Amino acid sequence: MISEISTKERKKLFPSTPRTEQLKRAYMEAKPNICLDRSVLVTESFRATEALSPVLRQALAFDRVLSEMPIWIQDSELVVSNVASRPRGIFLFPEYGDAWLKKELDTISTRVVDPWLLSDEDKDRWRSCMEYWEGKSMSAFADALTLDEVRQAERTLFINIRMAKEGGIGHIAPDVEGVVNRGLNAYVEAAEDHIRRLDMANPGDLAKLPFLKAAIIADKAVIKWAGRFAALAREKAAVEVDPVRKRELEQIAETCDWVPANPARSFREALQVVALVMASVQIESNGVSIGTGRLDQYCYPHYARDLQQGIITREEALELLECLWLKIAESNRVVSETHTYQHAGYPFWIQVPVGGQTPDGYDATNDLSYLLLDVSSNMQLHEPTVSARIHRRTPEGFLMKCCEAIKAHGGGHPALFNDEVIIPSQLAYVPGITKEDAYDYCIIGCSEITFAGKGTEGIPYHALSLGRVVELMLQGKDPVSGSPLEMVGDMLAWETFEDMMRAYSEQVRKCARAMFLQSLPLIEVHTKHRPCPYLSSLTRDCISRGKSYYDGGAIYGNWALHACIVGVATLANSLAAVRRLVFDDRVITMAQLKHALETNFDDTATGPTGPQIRDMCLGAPKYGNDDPYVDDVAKDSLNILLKELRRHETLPGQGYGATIAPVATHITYGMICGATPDGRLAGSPLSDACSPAQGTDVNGPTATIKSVANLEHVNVVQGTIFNMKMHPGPLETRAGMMKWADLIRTYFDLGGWEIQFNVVSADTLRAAQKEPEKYRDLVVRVVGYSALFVELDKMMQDDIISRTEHGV
Amino acid sequence: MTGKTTGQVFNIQRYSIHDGAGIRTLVFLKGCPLRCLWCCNPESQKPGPEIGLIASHCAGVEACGGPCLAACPASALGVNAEGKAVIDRQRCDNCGRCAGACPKGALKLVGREMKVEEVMAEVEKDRAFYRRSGGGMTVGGGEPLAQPEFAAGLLEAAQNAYLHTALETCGHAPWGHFEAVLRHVDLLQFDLKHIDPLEHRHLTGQSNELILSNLERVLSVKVPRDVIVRFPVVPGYTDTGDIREMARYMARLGFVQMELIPYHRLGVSKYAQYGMVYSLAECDPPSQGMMDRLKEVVENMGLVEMSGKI
Repeated sequence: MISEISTKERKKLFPSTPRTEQLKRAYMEAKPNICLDRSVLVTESFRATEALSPVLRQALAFDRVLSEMPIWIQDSELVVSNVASRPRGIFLFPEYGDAWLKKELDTISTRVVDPWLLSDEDKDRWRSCMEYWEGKSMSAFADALTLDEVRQAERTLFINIRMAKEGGIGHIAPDVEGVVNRGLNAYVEAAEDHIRRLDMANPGDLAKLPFLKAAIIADKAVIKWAGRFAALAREKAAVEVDPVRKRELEQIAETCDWVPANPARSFREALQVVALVMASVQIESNGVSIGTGRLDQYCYPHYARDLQQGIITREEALELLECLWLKIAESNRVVSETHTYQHAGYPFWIQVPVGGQTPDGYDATNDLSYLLLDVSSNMQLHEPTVSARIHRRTPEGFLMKCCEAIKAHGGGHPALFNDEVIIPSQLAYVPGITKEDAYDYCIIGCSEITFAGKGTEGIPYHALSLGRVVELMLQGKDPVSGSPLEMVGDMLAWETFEDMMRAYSEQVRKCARAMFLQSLPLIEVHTKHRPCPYLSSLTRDCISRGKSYYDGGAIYGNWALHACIVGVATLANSLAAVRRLVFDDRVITMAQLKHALETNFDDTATGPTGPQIRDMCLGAPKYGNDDPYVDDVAKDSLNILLKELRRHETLPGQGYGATIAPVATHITYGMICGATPDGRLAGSPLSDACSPAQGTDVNGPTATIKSVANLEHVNVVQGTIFNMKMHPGPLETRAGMMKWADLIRTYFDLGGWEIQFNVVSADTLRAAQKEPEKYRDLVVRVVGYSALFVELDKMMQDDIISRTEHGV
Repeated sequence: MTGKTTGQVFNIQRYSIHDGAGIRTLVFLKGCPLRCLWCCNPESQKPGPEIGLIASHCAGVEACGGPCLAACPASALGVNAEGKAVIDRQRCDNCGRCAGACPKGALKLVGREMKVEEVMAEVEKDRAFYRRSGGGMTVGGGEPLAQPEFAAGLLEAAQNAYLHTALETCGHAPWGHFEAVLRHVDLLQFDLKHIDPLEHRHLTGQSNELILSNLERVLSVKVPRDVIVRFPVVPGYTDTGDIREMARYMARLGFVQMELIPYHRLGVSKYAQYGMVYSLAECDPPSQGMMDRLKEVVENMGLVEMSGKI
């Protein structure tokens, strides 16, 4: 921790100006709250439009909300937009389904994880809306279409899709670039022009009319909404005594008078478009993880021009971006308490990709890419997330800047994505993809890929617990309910590792089918009932085809379903442990293992005892140590699953894909998963993403990276997340930073998809002190020396904790 | 292949980032002629295998059934008042059977005879990282020149496999050993613990005459940019005056690159694990301010201080 050449003092970074510092303080101090204005307006609108087609009803409701919701502009804001009627407020979406709230009406304001304030008056408003939506929400429609086979599988496999059924289209990036450069009026004109060209006597043409009309209503609604912000700014300007603020308010008014209706003429106007489009798409479609698209690319010409013409300085641009950040950070979504446990901390997964390559394959890193990294470091907000696209020709300085930003942030921003794997993956798996669009890919959600304004993705994930798969293969009964499970074959009859892998294949075949069937109704109900005319208008080629997002309007379908795979290492370690202990070394029998798992390694009356069997299991090879014995099991078992998923197609060539980015479902799925042969006890977390199981990678970062890169990330299609812990010691020196960058480059050379870092904090070290067995992999480093933290004595540990805390 | 093909290795550490250029694999050879009071790898000192016991990992013999006790042919294992295993070092012959039996990883055998090819197979695993970072293999210890043929065998094998090689040495070895090994070394990291022979003996158990005479001959076979001389900074033991003297001496010999290695206490926990006693009394790691001052001292002698630069 002592070094001669310190790159930079380890210090917290702050918003760059007093304005953004004050705005951030206001943001942090405001309590997240639920706001029922949208629910009331949408419900009134839907009550009045029952005779109309769904797409028009949705457009009219959207228009009603944007026209009548209370809007606000905070003191000193430069960029305006609202996602609800109050700061840190959030709307509900009764038309999608918020019946879950019934049980939580009185607890949601006080629940431990991610509480949301809800007033008594709003509780009453919620109840009165609910009366109308009973049986008419999206979740009700989707439930009605769910097959019995799927219901059965949901119980056995613990595959849950409730959040997707209650959610809108998320995991998308609308055509913000198009609105910035062309203005919404151009979209309206295109739709009007298309209507003029329709032959109403042609049923095919006539069918397009409702969508096109709805798109016009929706786009005009957003233009009017911007006008309301202009009017409000003008009102405030009229009574403002401070001449500086008065001028700022007038400028906001002028900006919102012009955009998003017309093409942005300045960097400021471009950012204002981003804020308004992001918020309005949210208000219409209730989606989780709506991406900005490649902001550093489409805003760059405006930035460069303004800079060159002296209209703006780099510092002013930074401040404007920080203002935009706080607007984007307003977006959120209320979910039930159960779902909150899967991802605590009010996450919303808004991704802003930076860097990468241009559609024609040149390096795309520009000054704005660097500036956005500064914004992320300065603001230290959980949203939005800047993610850097890295390719072989990414400038060294940019990668180093990313490393500095990660170090400053400490909590994983920015995540780094590997163009060299992601682009070939998209070219291989997205039907009809052009080279230009593959190079122009956009990051959304955790690890997923979309093409901004062109489609694919769209339905939030549902997750498959590989821990559950292991249980189904090996255990006789459900560890929670005690009821017998439907097993594949008889584990006691397996004589070889190959027998077990055959059983695994059969098991995942069932899973893949069930999950595919589970997803299909979602596509159907979105297509039919919630076509999202506004979002669709911001998706090419919906307007020119006269069709909505799911209905064939989007260039790249949007039927790219994917399953989120949870517990890759838990599965691999479990299969490898059985292979080692039962088939190779024959130190225990399958019957002994089965009993030990069923008794959670607790039975001391057997010989060997349960705890002894557990020790054997823990001693078996573990993924994350560059050991082909288990790493190849991980690769093979993942490949089997990926191929089983891809057997199912939503459209010709559009196979069912996967992502290994489980948010925190590895914890919740772990809670309901019995003991597994890797030595994991019942109820403990499954392994996270494609990272090694907690505390089991003890050969250092290069070994871990090689194990993880041994998986065939290119075939996962929607990507993988790899969380890596990093002790800050080596990051203190210039050489240490460069070696860190080399580590990242090598992971990408070897075929990794994404990597993100947690710079080890004093809190982590304290946790390791308490539960050493979970942190056996934790390495602390000083100059010339590294040690496994848990092997140090208490005094030494305390010393390191205090040094880490104070950044020395 | 000129070198010996087997030797005693006590650790192979991948992702070593403070021992030469780039990301490296550090091969630690076992056995050292010095006994530096601040040594952070006490398990590296004796030449043969040794059993270490990490008391905090031991679950207690009741919980695990005590397979270590049963495995020990010398009856060297006992149980302490907390129910945990203890080693009677008088009886223990370091056969390592208990380590194989321990289910908790509390007992571990350090040091094993390895073939050059076995070591190289481990080193090869991180080739992709060396290539990216300009790293390679470092042979350290212990004292690698205490096993000169094996060290030469490893370094030659690495060079033949197009890997960059580095050697860390305390310098206490016959010059003939240096000659045999240095031909295969791209970067030499040579430690000088103290300039005064008596003080050196007090701190390390050996006088420094042999070390200084080797240091004086190094530049007859290596160019200055391929050598880094390293000084430990142990407050109260190696003072500013000593460091200045060492730097002056080095500069006079024509060396250019040096590195100041700050004392740390991370190795202290290991003494108890190997039945040893840490005998360096109260000593705190040097402050950043002290390191900065010392850096100035050596740079005023015309040397380049390398820490954090490679």
